[in-house]
Amino acid sequence: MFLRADKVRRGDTLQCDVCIVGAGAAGITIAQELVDSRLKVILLESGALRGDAETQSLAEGRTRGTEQTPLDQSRLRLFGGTTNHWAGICRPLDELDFLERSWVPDSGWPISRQSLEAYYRRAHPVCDLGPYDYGDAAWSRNIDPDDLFARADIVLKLVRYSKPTRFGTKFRRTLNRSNSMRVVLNANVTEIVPDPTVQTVRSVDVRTLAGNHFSVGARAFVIACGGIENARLLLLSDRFTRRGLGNDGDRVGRYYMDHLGTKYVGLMLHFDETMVRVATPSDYAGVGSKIGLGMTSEALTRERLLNHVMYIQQPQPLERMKAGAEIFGKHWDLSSVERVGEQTPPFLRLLGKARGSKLSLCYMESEPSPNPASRVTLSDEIDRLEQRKLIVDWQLHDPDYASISRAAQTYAQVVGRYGLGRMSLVRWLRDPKAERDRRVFPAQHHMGTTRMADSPSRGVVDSDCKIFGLDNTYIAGSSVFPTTGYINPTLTIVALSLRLADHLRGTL
Amino acid sequence: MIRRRLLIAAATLVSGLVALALLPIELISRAPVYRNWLSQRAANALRELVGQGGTGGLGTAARNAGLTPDQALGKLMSRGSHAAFLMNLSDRGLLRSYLDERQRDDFATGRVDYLEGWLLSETEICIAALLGD
Repeated sequence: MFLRADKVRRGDTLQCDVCIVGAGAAGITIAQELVDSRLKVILLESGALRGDAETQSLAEGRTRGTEQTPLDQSRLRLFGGTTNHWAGICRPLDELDFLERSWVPDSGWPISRQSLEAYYRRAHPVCDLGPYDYGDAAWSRNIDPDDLFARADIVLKLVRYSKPTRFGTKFRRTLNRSNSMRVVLNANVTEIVPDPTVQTVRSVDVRTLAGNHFSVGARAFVIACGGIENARLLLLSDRFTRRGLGNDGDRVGRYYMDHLGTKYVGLMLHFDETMVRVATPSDYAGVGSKIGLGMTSEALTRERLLNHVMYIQQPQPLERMKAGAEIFGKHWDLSSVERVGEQTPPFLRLLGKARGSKLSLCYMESEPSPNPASRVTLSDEIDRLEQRKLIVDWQLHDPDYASISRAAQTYAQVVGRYGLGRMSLVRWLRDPKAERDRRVFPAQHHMGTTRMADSPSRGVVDSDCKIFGLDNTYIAGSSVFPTTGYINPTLTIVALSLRLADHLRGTL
Repeated sequence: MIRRRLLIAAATLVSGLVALALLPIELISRAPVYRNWLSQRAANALRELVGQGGTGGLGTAARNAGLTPDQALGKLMSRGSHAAFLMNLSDRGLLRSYLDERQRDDFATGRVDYLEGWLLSETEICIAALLGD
């Protein structure tokens, strides 16, 4: 059943078994999993079924440090959350992403990749991704019949495209039909209220932009407001704890991460069709897909690199590339395109073994290393609900840039060594002294601000996503990721949410 | 005072001319300058191979990096005998496969460098230097 928060009687306290705050990918996934359980659920959503500017303005905040997309553009406040404008790119994290790595400070999840495998499988139909298959399938043999990449310690990474599934649209009817489910729209949670001992959360305070207010009490609470809003809500909940809820270890809001997009790494001149096949998107089992290049775990470990993927765009004429690069010039480093003389590729090609004339742009996505100085805090600015707004200060370590640079150089070497073509790299990737030129593109994947850890001194939630020190409050979403891998976060958000739903069903 | 200024200007001019004269002609001339017949012979054979399109600015870039045509030839001939190199120059097919093999070997052994942003084999850079633009 859906209802509007303004219709709830002012000052009332609604009761349920599970209160979920936020109806995005995480919140809706958990809610739809609990539909057939015996649990009474209330799902609170700040927005309505359609977006409105007034509600969206609550997403405003300030950014600092590395260039970011404005906070009210990268996130959406309506039913379905940011899945209303996501690109649909999916793939599970790699096994290495879960491990503690000596060259990545504060790395390591308290759970293994294997423990998420069953949930990744279940997440596939949720995201409309077709068969769960990322392994050594026919597509891999078609692209690389000679196992050339394996010899170069390179792996092909299959990435699947969701439709993209709009979670609000897909699950609206299911949630509406359920007798045990109440979805309250225009319900802005402004504070999580624990008992005075700060061991159990009693309720959450809800306000509407029209001036109504009420509370929701529950046996368990799930905070699923998004990668940075989760931290904000904990920091705002400072009635009994000056630092905010779950923040005894001063970890809430720290380790803010986004994927490091490098647009562009440079150009690839193809000597044969191998990399063209890598660059060609295709339908795999009826689902759109693309392929990226990555390195084996052994190579990443040996070279002490951050995990990453390099994508090669489909070949296109040089002039079209230049035009495209100019349109998006603000974020794209044009140097590699501008430096290509019309005769450079023909010269190199004639020396090479093939006669083709194809050129592609290449770009890369990399994980950042976790950084406690990269953080979400509250500013003194107040929003329309009289809540303190966010400051997101995205800080990167120098080794993050160095890792991208070394990875790009390795690909350029491999491409040359195996006669696949030649690569040009933008200046900061090939010259360590060109620090002023280095630039990464924010992927708008907000992660890490309430990280999962094995102790409260290292994180905010435990391996069940339960906030340390609180016995009935959980966090869902990418804010629990201790490290990010290179791939877009939604599939992992959904997998973790399914796991949390199982946990709630089993324990309540 | 005026005489002193004139003297300084003249001295600067003379020292500039001397410095220019001391620079290898290969690094000043716009067109490649070949000091021996083999450089010329190699350049001709390679030009025949790559066609009239030129090197797209890579020749100048290689020269700006301090590589003269003769130095480039020296590097190209440094692996194997001069006789074998001459044989390769005499046949287009032989030359192409010889260069292919060298380029692979360059990448495998790290004999690579960036020229105008491209990661190239030493062989490619030498050819660019030999041919000019």
